[in-house]
Amino acid sequence: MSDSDRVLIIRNLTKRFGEKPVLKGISFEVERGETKVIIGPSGAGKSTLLRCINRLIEPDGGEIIFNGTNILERGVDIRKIRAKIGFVFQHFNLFKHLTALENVKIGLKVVRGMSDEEAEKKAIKALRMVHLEEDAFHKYPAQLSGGQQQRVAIARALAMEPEIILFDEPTSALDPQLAGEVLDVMRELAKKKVTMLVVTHEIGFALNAADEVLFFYDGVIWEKGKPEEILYNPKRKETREFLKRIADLSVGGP
Amino acid sequence: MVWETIARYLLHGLVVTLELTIVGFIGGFAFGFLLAVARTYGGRLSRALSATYIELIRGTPMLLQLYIIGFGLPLVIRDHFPNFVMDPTVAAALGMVINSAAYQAEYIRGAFNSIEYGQVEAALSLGMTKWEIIRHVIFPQAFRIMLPSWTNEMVYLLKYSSLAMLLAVPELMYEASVAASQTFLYAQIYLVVAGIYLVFATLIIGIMRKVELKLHIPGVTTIKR
Repeated sequence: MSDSDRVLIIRNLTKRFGEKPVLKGISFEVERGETKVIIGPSGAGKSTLLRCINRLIEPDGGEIIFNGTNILERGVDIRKIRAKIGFVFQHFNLFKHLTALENVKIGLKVVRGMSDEEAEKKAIKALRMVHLEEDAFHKYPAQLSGGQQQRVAIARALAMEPEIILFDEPTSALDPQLAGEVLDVMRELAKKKVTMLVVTHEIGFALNAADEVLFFYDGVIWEKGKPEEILYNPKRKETREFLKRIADLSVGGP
Repeated sequence: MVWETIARYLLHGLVVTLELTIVGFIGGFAFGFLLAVARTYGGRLSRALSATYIELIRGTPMLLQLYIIGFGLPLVIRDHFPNFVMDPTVAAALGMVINSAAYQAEYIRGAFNSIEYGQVEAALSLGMTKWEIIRHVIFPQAFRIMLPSWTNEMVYLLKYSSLAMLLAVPELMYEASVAASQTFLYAQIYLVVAGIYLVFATLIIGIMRKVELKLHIPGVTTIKR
């Protein structure tokens, strides 16, 4: 495989908060057009891992090679890199003073330097890709449902034409019906070969949209493989226990 | 006509009072904004300097600050530049800017801090710089959140500009006292002056209320009916 087929290569990534190691040497790759899903217990550092990839959090060590550039090296303009890495947050993090349309436009105008017209065209296209209702285009985040807000957030990331989009538990703050509309959009993006790295507890999404599933446990990638392998026939005890707990939760608890 | 003369005094005083209020407010905002940015987003040194300044000003009486600037400072400067004179109105305006900046800095900082970090993370992820984030994300929201405290600050400045009379600045209270001592119409004149302050304070509150309504964005500000 040539380097240009791999959008992201992570080697031996480490991060500790004070005395507590959170990432103990993470290594994996994301190929262009691939959907990779990371599952694992809450509070274990999955969000930290995603935030290290665009350096919202500075990792302590290791390599992050994005499109052939090690972004942890000195002299890298991290803002240029971030503009090419989409990020979708658990709590949407829309700009509250901007309408749905303006939320998508602002990155294009401020960071990409587009004219208002050009940004508007691109933003409308992105909002249509996430099936945002036309009457919601000019509404403020507080006037939108959680599902709509998260779709706007996805459109905001998409409009920047990123090489990869990182999703940090994008449906955890939504009730099941609204989660469904967000997952539908993400499935469509997977079909369109948008490169995605998704941290989620949605096993269904992992099964039918992921090319590969990583089980993150105790600061490392504990196990990885095809979705059916990991989700139906995990080799390791910790993976089985985690999946059992998730299954118990989804039917109303043990 | 005695009231014609009184009116001339009061009108002149009113103009000076409004000038002091406006200069204090605008200058205080400009300086206060920098203080707030330094205290919220600055490095260790600028945070410490800004915090020290703010607490120093908020912890001492405004009248004392006016005395230091109006009476103390010119003497010190005159040691080096014997011809230096400072107009008392300029001294008072300077004092009000210096004082208001500390309070406005705290209002602005409070508004900055009320914007959740998630939005900053989102803006960083788009590739924005610190200043782009302050300008396009933080400030437009902070500005709206701050409006009610701004109204308070304007009304305070309007009223506390009367302290400038103690530097012999010909503002409303000063002119009123001159007119009163010449006509002995103390009660009448001071009642009229009270009315003038009240009218302008009410005007400020009314206009700011309109501005709040006009700039209201659901989810950013709340409007009480």
